[in-house]
Formats: sequence, structure tokens, C-alpha cells
Amino acid sequence: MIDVNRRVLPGFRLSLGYTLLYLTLLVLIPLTACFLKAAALPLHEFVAAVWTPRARAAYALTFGASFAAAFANIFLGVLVAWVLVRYEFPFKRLFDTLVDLPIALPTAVAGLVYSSLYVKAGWLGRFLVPIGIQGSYSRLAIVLVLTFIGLPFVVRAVQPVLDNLDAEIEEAAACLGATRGQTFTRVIAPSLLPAIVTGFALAFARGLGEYGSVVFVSGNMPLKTEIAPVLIVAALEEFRYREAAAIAVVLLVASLTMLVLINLLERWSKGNGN
Amino acid sequence: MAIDITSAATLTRRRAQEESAIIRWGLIGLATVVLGVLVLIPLVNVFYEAFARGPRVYWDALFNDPDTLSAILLTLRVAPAAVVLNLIFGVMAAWAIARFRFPGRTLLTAMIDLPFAVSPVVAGLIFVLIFGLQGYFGPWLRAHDIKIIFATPGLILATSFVTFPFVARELIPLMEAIGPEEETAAVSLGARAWHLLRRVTLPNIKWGLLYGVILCNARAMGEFGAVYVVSGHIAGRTDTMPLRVEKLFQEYNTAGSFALASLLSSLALVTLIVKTALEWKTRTELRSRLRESLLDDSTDAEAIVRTPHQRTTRSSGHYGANQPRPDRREEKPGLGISVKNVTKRFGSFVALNDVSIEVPHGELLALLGPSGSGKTTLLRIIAGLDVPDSGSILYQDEDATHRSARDRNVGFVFQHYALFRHMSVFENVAFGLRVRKWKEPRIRERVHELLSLVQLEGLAQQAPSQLSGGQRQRVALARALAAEPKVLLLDEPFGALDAKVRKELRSWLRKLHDEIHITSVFVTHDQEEAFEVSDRVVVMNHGRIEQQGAPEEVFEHPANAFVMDFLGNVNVFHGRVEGGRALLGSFEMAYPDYPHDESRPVRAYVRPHELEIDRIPRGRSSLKADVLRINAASAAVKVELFAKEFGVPLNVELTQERYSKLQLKTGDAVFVFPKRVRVFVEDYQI
Repeated sequence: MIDVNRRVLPGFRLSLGYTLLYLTLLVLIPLTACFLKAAALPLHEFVAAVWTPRARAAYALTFGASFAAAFANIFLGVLVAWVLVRYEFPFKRLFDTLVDLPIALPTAVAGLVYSSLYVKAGWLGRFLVPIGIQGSYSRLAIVLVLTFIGLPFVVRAVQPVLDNLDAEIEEAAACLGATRGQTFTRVIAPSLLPAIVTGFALAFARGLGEYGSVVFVSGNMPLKTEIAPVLIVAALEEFRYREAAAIAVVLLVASLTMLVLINLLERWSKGNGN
Repeated sequence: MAIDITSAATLTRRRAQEESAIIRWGLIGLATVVLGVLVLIPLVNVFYEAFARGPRVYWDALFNDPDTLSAILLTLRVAPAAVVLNLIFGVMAAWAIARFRFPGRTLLTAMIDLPFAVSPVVAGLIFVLIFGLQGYFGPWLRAHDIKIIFATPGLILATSFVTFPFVARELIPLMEAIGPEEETAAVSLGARAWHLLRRVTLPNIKWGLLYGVILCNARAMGEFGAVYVVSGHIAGRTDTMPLRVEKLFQEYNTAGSFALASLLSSLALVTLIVKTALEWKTRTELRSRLRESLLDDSTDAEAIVRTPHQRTTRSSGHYGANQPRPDRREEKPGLGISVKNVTKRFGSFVALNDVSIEVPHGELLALLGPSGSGKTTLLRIIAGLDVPDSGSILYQDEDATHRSARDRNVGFVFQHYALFRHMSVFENVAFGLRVRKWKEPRIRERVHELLSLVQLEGLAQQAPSQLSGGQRQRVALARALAAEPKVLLLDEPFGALDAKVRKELRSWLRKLHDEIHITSVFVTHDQEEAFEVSDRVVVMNHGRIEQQGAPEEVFEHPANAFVMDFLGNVNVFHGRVEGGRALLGSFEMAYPDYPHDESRPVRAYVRPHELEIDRIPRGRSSLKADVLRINAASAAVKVELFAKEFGVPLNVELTQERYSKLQLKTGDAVFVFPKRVRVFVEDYQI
């Protein structure tokens, strides 16, 4: 049924008009300005700005660390979601609530506490540093804090799917002689795959853009532990606006691609879910 | 995170297949370690570091450091401003996206997710590029001495950008799950936009709205990257709380940074607690709604039977002082509603094809047809809930085609009741009167009058969720009648009820109509219901009218094969017609309607009570058949036979008298002959 409600319920023009106006002022015009500013650079200067060794190292680190963190979250997230959906245990409610902390906690706080936990005198660093694990001011530190940031995305993507999984398919697998392990790998995991992919993509996209927590824990050493958004801030502090805009365009294109991909994935997993 | 609606139903389900205890507790332990290391230890560490040097140091770090104090105050200005902006945006966007279909809707929905994908640093940068000194508006702003970047307005802009999805993302799925039925009902009762928002929509979405606001606020207070870029880091002036945390951290002021961080963490904890509480609330509400839908409807059938309407014995047309009466103007005979040449398409699907109907004043008309026949669309067009592509609707000879539902003054009863779930029965019935600004004493009088009419006086203060299906339907009826509508429209009024309650409500509705004589149209796919309740039946199929007439007329003289088929419970024979005779296997009979020589296929229909059984053949129109099954456990004995010649089973109804005379047994070979046959030349396809 096409626009059945349009004539009956009031406020279509007002609500749509306001929405479009707000998005235009807050999003479209500023984003266009960014592209225009970057376009003011001649092509060779644009390339020179976005493709320096320092910038390449930063892109590689941003993508690599986000990927590593999102990949780790596939396993951690599915484990947490599985335990939450399938088992009853004390303090389960608290457990469930804690999963959302990374979404509600300001990233600066996450960065601050992660940087203090893994230094030599920190609660976790005092065990890890002696055995050679540097969880602070290192690439590992970035992966750790991005894992924290991305965890809820995987858990909350997998949890409802696991919850709605038909118990009968597992019973059928058991009747046909499958062990629990076989049932998991051959029956359950394939059904969870679309949700896992969505959760992974969300966590990965969140990692790509993350700034607040990473600047605390990474130490921001060029070529080593410097992520791409830091380049923009550095360019801005030196008043090189067009270079900043150029790097921003590269990041924007990457994140818009991710957004499109996530939307396609969500559609795909919805299609597969039914 | 969206409140998870789907998990409510499965919350208590136990799995038959479970791992051994060792694996189970191993996994629980592992998950606890993961969550402990990643989330719990960091959280505890924040508070430990903050309070490690005692409460005195904590207090000083927060409130005796002027820069920290000003950062707290700045955050308390910036975050609420962004929240208010995004709250208005979120409600507007959710209303447009969840309640309407328009081109580009998917794109718009995806655009709302944009801040999730854009790095906050980029979000800050884009505002610097516009409003900064070297930005597009920079020189102009400087000339007029307006500061945006490195000042509070810039902080609000950047924060709004990063947090604008939160309210909208909460509301859109919630409003889609609730559906537009209650709002449509409110419009049909005469509500205007403001009433709709304040009295129907907001009460339904308040918890989702609250959570969206709280989450939006948490993110606004905690935003770092975007604010970092636009603030310029001026201590005491443009540092928000997270920026101040960073500066103290750079100055190796552990006590100060952790004290402020603990404040921000408390905010996160409050957010989580509210989220958990709201989820719990939503789940309990959902559970009670699930329970309601399982409630046995038959419980209130009894109530109706026990209290037959006392006033039904009065001559119709005479109204007691307490009864609703139709407008005096309307008592003149004439047309209540006329529908003229209405056509309606949905895309390429033709829902109504040049349909015309006239409903005399005071008549109770049934629109009968299979699903997809266009009957509900026609009813919605009469109500003004849909607009025809062409044709017109007249109310008492006045053109109402372009009048809104609100101005038509119709009472509409929805199939699934569409009661306002957050209002009592009383308030539901009073709704149409309140939006019409009736005075309070009159409202009270009128509502009680109606509740007594539908026999629900005792339940005025109940919530709709406490009622059974049949009671809810009667509340919906009372609500529709409250504002003295000129016409009453009912969309499958008994469709959602179980068989017994449906029967009771049917005869009750008929009695009610005899009393109040309001021009009424009701939609149904149940022919028994249509025949029992209505004065006149309109049979529809594929957007067209197949036949209209009094129930007996339609039943006795179906206009065509479709109507015959649709009325159901009939034996079908395939045969031919030629030269004025119909040939149906061994049946043969005169068919003067078709005198042509060319032979054409026909279908013949014989109702079960129109077939006779005998043990000996009678002339040329007898058919040999074997008795398959006999069901004598009702007033009419139902016999199922098999006729080899046609290869079809036959259903025959006999009187008990005839049955005992024949002494039929299963397996008997008998002869069947028709008392009455209706023949239709095959000109339609099912």
C-alpha cells in the first residue's frame, strides 16, 4: 500500500520538511564544504597531502587495528552473547547491563583508564609488562581499547538472532546423530553468520572513526602509533586546512563505503533470517 | 541500543539441548573473564583511582579547580542544548519515516546513521571549514563579531552532529512496531495534529523517547573528538569535561583527571541503569499484552446472553431519554451515503473499479467478499481514511469526497479495535468528545450513556488490556458512537473474536441497530454473518460489485457463478448447454436462457438440501451414488456420497424423518436427484 497514511495522518510536510532542513544545515552543507575545500587543491597536491609515508602508516594502522579488534570481537562477542542467551547464572542481569557500558562511557574515560591499567604499575600491566606484553603506548594498546569500544556491537547483533533461533533445528540435528560441537559448527554458526558479519562491520566502522580513547593510549608517535584522525588534528593545528580537508575526504569516502556496506549487509541478513 | 522486542516472548523458553555442566560453566567463566578484563576492571579502576587519595582530594580536584569547575558548567550548557535540538529532530524524523511512505525514504533513514560512520574528528573539521577564520563564513562572522568556532555555539553544533541519530534511531523502530492504527482511529474520531501528538503518540512512545534522550545526553556529555577540534582548547572557556580530562592527563594530574572521569562514569552508569529499567518495563508490558491475547474470549459471551437488552422491546424509532439518538435532521428519508463511480488503484493493482453504491438512511449494509476484493478499501474511502483516484462520496446528498475523516463525522470501528492502550475505557470513549471540546459534565453523562448501551458500565476505569476481546470490541463501538456520528462504519468487526463470541455479538449488533437506526456499513468475509446481521448485502470481487440485494434475495437468486461459489456449501457439476437444454451427465433439464445451437460448457450448482435421495431411480435425472459417510448428529442429517459418473463427492442434507424412512447405511448404492438446479454458463474464472 503506497502512501495510504499520507492523506489521513497530519504533519507529513512539516515533519519531512523539518527533517530535511535539519539534515541539510547540519550534515549536507558542512560535508559539501569539506569536499569543496579538498577540491581546491590541485590533484598532485591532493595526492601529496594524503599519500605521504606518515599518512600511509596512519591509514594502515587505523585499518589494521580496527580490523584486528573487530575480528577479536567476533569470538568474544559470540561467546558473551551465547552465555547470555543460553545459560542462567548469578548476576546475569548485571552481566547483561555491563555489555552496554562501552556505548555509554565517554571515550576519553575509556582512554584514560586503559592507559593507566596496562602501564608497568597498573592493575593489569604489573603482570603483563614483566612477560613482555606492552598494553600501553603501543599498537596493542590501540587494538585493546578498540576491542572494548566494539564489543557491544557484536554482542547486540548476535544476541537477538541467537535468541530467536528455532530450538527444533538443534533437536533435529541431535536426533540425526550430531554431537554438540557438530551442531554448533554446522547448524548454529551458519545461521548466526549474517548477524556476526553485521556486528563485525559495525565494530570495524566504529574503530575506523574512533579518536578519543586512542589518543590517550597510543602515545601518537608518527609512523608507529599515530592513527589517521590524529593527522587531521595535526594539520589543523598547523593551519593547513586544505590538507586536513583532503585527509578528511579520504576518511569520509572510506566511512561512507562502510555505511553503504553495512546497510547492504543488514538487508542481506534480514533476507537470510526469514 | 534498541529495546529488543523479539526476545520477550522467548525469554523463559528452556532449551532441550544443553551442554554438559563442565562446558557450560567453562563458557560462563570465560565470558566473565572477557567482560571482567574489558569492562568491569576498567570501570572499578576509574573509581578506585578517583578516591584512592581520599574524599578531600577528590572534592578539591573537582570543585576547587576553577578550570575543572568551568568545564563541568560548560558541559551542562552544551549537552542539554544539543539534546533539545536532537529531540525535536528525532520526533519529527520518526513521524515522517515511521508513518509515511515517500520516495527516498530508505536513503533518508540511512543518512540518519551517518554520524555512526563519520569520525568525530572529521565532524569537528567540517564545522571549522565553514565557520572558522579561514572558513567559508569566517570573514563574515568576524566582521559581525559572531564567534562560533572556539566558542559555545561551535561546541553545540559539533555535539549535535555527533548525537543526532540517537533519539530518531530509538523512535523509528518503536513507532513502526506500534503501528498507525491508534493514530488513524484518533483522526477518525476528530483529533487534530496537536491532540494526536500529545494524547496518542507521545504517551505510547514515552519510554523509548526517554531512553533516546538519556543515551543522547550521555553521548553529548562524553563527546571528545568533534569537540576537541572546534573548541580550541581554551582552559576555563571552551574545555568541556572530556577535554578537561585530557588536559589534566597531559599535565600528569592523575587525581584531577580520574576525579572528573569518575563523574563521567557515574553518568554512564545512570544511563545503563535507566536502560535496564526501561527494558524491564517494556518486557513486562509486552508479556502482559501476550497474555491478554491468549485470554479466552468465551468468558464474556455469557454476559451478553444473560443481559439481553431491555429496551429492545420498545418500538424502534422511539428513543428513551438516556439513549443516543440520531440527529433529527437525518430522520428525513433519503440517502445516508452514496458512492458514485469510485475507482482506486495501488500501483498497478486495481482495488476498486468504478464502484457505485447507495445506502438509504438508517440501513445496515454488509460489504461481503473474499480478501482482496476491495471491500475494506471501499469502507476506508467512505470514512475518508483513503482518497479515491476518481469518483465521489456523498453524505446526505452533499459531496464529501474531499472532506477529511475528521470533518465527515463518521464512527469507525477497526478490526483490531485500535483502542488507546494508555487510556482507561472511560477516556477512550470520551476521546472524540474531548477533541470536540465538550463540557466535562456533558462528557461524563454521554460516556455513561454509551457504556450502558454497550453493557460495560462497571468497567469504565479499567485499562483496555484488562478486557476480553469481545469487551474491547464493544468499547470500540461505544467510542465510535460517542460523538453522534451520522454513519457508523465497521471493518470486519468480529474478525478477531472466537466463533462463539462472534455469534453473540452479531445478534447483539443487530438489536443495537434496530434501536439507534444509524446508517451503517460493515465489512465481512463471512457470508453467514452478512446474512444474519444486515438489511442488504453487497457482494464484491476483484474491485467490482457482483450482486446487491436483500439477504434472502442474494441467497435464493445468486446472480452468477462467483456469488454461488462464494456463498459456499454447494455441490458443483460440470456439463454443457445447447439448444435450450442443459446436459449434466445423466441429468438433463430444460434451460431456456440458452436457445443457441452452439454447445458451451456450464457449471450447475445444487445446495445440499436441494438434493433428494431415493432407493429407486426416478426418470431421466437420477444419478447413481454410493453412501460414504452419514452424520445424523444434528437437525439435518448430512450424507456424503460418491458419484462415480462425475468422480466427485456429493453432500446431501435430509430431514431426520426422511432419513429414518430410507434406513440408509454406509456403503448403500442409492439414486440422487435434484429438486432445484442453478446453471451458469462459464464466463468467469476463479
